Amino acid sequence: MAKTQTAAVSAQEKQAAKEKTWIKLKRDKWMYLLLLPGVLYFIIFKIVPLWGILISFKDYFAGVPFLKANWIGFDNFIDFFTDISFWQLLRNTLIISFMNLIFFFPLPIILALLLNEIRVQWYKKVLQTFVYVPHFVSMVVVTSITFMLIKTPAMEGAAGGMITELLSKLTGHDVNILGNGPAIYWILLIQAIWKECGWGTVIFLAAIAGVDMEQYEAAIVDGASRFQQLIYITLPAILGTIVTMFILRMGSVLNTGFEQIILMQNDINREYSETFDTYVYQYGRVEGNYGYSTAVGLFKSIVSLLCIQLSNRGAKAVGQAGLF
Amino acid sequence: MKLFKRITTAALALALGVTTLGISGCSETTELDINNPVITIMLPTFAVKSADTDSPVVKAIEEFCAKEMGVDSLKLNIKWAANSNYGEKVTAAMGSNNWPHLMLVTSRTSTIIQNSRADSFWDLTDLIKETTTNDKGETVYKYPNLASTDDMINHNISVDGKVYGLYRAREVGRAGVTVRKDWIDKLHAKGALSFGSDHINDMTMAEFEEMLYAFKNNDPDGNGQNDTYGMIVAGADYLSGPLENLAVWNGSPNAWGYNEKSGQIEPSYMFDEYVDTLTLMRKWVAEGVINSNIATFNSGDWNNPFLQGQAGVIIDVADRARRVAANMQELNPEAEVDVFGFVAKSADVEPRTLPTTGYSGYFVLPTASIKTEEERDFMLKFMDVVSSTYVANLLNYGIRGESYEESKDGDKKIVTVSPAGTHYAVIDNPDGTHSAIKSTDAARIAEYQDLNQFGTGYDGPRNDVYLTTYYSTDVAKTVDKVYKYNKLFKVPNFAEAYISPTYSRHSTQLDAIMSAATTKYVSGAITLDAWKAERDRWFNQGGEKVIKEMNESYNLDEDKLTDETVKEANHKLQYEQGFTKWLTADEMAKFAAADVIGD
Amino acid sequence: MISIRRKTLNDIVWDVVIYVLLTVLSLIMVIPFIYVIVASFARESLIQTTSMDLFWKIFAPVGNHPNGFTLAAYKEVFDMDGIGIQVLRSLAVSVCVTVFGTCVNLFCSTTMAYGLSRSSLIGKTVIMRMVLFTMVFGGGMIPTFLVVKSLGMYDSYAALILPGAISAYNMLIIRNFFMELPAGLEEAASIDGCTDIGIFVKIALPLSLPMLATFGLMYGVGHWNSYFDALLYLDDSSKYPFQLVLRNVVNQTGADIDNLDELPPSDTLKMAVIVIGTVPILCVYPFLQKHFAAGVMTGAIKG
Repeated sequence: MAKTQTAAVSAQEKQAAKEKTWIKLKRDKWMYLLLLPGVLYFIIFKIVPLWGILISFKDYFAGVPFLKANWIGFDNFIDFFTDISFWQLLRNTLIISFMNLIFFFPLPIILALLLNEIRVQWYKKVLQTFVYVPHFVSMVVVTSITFMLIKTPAMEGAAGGMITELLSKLTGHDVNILGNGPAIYWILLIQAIWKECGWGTVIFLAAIAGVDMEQYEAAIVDGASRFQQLIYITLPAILGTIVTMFILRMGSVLNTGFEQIILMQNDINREYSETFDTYVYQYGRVEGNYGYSTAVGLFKSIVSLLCIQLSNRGAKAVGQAGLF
Repeated sequence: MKLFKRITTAALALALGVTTLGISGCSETTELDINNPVITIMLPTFAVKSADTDSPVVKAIEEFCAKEMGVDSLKLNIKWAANSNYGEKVTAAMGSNNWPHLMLVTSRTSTIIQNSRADSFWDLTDLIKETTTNDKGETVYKYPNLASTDDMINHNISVDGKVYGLYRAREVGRAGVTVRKDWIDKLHAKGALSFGSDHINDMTMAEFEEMLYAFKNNDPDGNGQNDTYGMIVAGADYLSGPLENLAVWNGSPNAWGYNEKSGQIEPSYMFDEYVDTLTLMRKWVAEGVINSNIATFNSGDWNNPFLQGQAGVIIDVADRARRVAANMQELNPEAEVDVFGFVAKSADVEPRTLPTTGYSGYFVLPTASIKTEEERDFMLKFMDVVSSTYVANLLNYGIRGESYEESKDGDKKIVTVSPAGTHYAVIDNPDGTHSAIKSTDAARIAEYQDLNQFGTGYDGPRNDVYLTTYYSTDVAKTVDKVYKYNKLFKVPNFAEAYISPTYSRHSTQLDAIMSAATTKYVSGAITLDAWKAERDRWFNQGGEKVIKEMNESYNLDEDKLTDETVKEANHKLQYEQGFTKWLTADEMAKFAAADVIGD
Repeated sequence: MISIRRKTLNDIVWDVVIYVLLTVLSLIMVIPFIYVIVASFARESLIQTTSMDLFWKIFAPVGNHPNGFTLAAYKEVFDMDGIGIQVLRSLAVSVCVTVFGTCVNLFCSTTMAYGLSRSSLIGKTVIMRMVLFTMVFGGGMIPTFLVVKSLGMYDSYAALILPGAISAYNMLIIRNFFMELPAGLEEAASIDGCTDIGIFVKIALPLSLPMLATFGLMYGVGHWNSYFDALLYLDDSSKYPFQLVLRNVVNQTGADIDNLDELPPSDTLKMAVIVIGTVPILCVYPFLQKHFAAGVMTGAIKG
């Protein structure tokens, strides 16, 4: 009997909950209308393509009718893992990524700390304007300018690009940057630094702005020099932001600037510049081997997902908020 | 606030508008109406701006084609795609179901192969040389211009033995050695060289080597200093030019050949002759006959040591001599530049030359846009008209009297000289009675800019005077002779027609192994054993599979090349050109008999 | 305010070092631009024979010209018989795509962000999960291409705008912003009889103007600078936006192996096209700088 009673009560509760849900839904009807375009967008352009992953199990080429393509199981994946280019791709991706991490990552922090030392506000504004500008310039322009700066002399007696000439003078012999495959690693790094280093300071400057002024005043009373203030107050204060940014960066270790590489890639440096992203592009878009390309992309997505999960855990482990 | 209201309203309206635009703007494959055709053609462009569809030259082509095809109007809709991403655009057209009626395929990617096998393109194997009976009851070719195509090249572009396209013909015997003629004569005169410049077409490997050493050691420029060397070899990626030529002269196959020892076709680096050539070049580099910096030498500077009188030989394409000669005229008018096609291994062995593939891409007819056999035949007829001399002249040089002026021979006004040394003028070839000078007006040139990409370059029956580009240097005429002479001894690539899936996938990596090892060996950085170890690495990383796959195709091929078929084809050509030095009496009799039947 | 204490010698040295260092650094950032601008006005022969020294050699006589300046490159860029039509058309395309695209971006991002800002909304968690998941895992290039193609958007401008209508990251930052708006305002408005849409348009949006300017700028710059979408989805070269035309001009080597006499575009021409592509951004940038300085910082810290 007690049972039936509780059953009746829970039924009533359910009924009430249902009504409550209905009321809520009705109350928020305009909110759902606002959500509609965005949700449609995510479903159409983000969720529906997930079905397309199925073609990675097919022998599917551009132009060949979909139904004529055979199901081939994991053949595309096996092909890729046994491919000699697999290790090359991994090597290039990691080299480009880690060079970025080692040489590029600290620079915005240093730059932000230095900018913070500029006490003349208008001059600081001017400097910021200058260092932010490259961020707003397109990759096409950046790579075009690069080619101008590093071009090899067209003929005897002609001059090469500014950087070619400079390096030739410094080293004392003719330098041919474009003809040197591995040089692409440095070119990509320097481009990234030039374009994004200034903009990267924004987040650190914001963190520095949040540092408590009293700490500095106390330090000054203690006779700390400006450099000591920087090392013992500012830096520790933004350490949290640095760690977060570092861990997030680790999470996207397989993501190398795709547009940048595609624009810089040529037959001379392809051996060194081919990464997972460009390989997907090469096999999917250029060669039209849709199945294989999608398989490679899927592999990269899964590994990336794992990296992000790991770095997120890492962020939480050191007491940071993390992304999720 | 007001502003934002407006912006949000505008954005909402726009979002809706754009969506509808997107749906209506969807462009799919259009079908061909053969009574009133609008033919969509996909072509690569090299210039910043290519000819518009409303250019008078395109109009002239349309009119001529309409007349020849017997239709009221015919329109060309050319879809230009930048050459740098042309391959990608071809793939995108196929992947997005935007098939043109004619598509130039520039590289045989796995997608092109798969689409050929899936019948996405019309099979033209039996149609190109189809015959029909004319009013007089004679059997004639249905498409006379298409019928002039070369069987071997058609075979080379085939997939599983089926021809899916109409290739764009290119010079086969393009290889050539550019030399300092005056150096040879000077050295011969002072006894440092056993032959003079009149002998260059009959040079043997021993004489070639003698010449290189004489250029290095015997002061060919007569300045009393040891400041010259023999041959310029450029860049890691360009080493292959001189190397492949030398190897073929020495008896190695062109890329792939039949190895009697193993009873299968193999790449050239498996052959002793090839390895010997490498070792020979290594010796030349070590002894200073070739520049020592071949690994870092920039191919863009290839001509410079030659032009500056530091070296006297370049092995590359024969037309390089044309440009070198033109530049030389300005820099050092006393220097004489000459060109020859090949070097024989020895005086008693028939020479061998390295040919090009003979084509540069091919046009396919997609079955998605050309649905019926009637439409297909219409398109073949159209391509036949496009391949005629009249249209070829329009495509390459524009409209007579407008894009270029006609004048009588001997009245050649040279308007401008391009840096490459070509005078922008054209002259009629066979008898020299017509000559023409191209307009230098940019607007005029723009009217036919890049249209030459549509030209097939077939040499069928003439329906107009045959125009060629005019060059001012004497060497230019020699270049044409070199082209012809080279063809008589060409060594084709036995595997040209075959597709190895492994190679298609790994060509970049596999080729990189061999080219890096070869550059290192030739420049003296590694030993022969190390080079062979790299060759083994090539073999293990996929080369073995490539050889296996190539041989499977080779063994299945009914028209496969053998040393005998190549020899017979070359000898037949030699007979036709009246060059009988290497023909046996039996062969002469056989060809003579065939001639009688043919007539 | 901090400098209660007098500057020590150490501090002065420190200041000098930092000022010099940063000044040099910021000059390095802009020198390439200045070089390109100067080079676009230089004679071709000068560009081929100078590198760094172009800056002063351009003032010196060249051949029989009084100096190295010339407008030839710009005349060629806007030559209507040459590439002029293509350049102008692509600029117009880029302006339209940027304006329309940014409107679509802001519309979709703000509406969705506002919708998700109500924590009691049923289904919010599901939608948030979907957004977060798609941020880290996607179908990839080809599956997305196939979807765009089957929607009939291939070779239409919609393909440049709709597939990137929302940046999930930006949308979440906007949502954070909306969530921090004082709840009292909304309540007051709803008592006044405003619907949620009314509150969104009349209260939420006006309060977030600086932030909208920031994201408008981000999206706008993204559209103006993007070339890859156009490369993927546009077929007809007359529809190309400016960046793709720029890429093709710069990439044009003229090296048709069968036709060695073809000449590539001159370097000055390339420079002039680069300048034309960069100037609009550089012109808009100072006006918006003060907005994003505030907007980005608030958003970035929370994001």
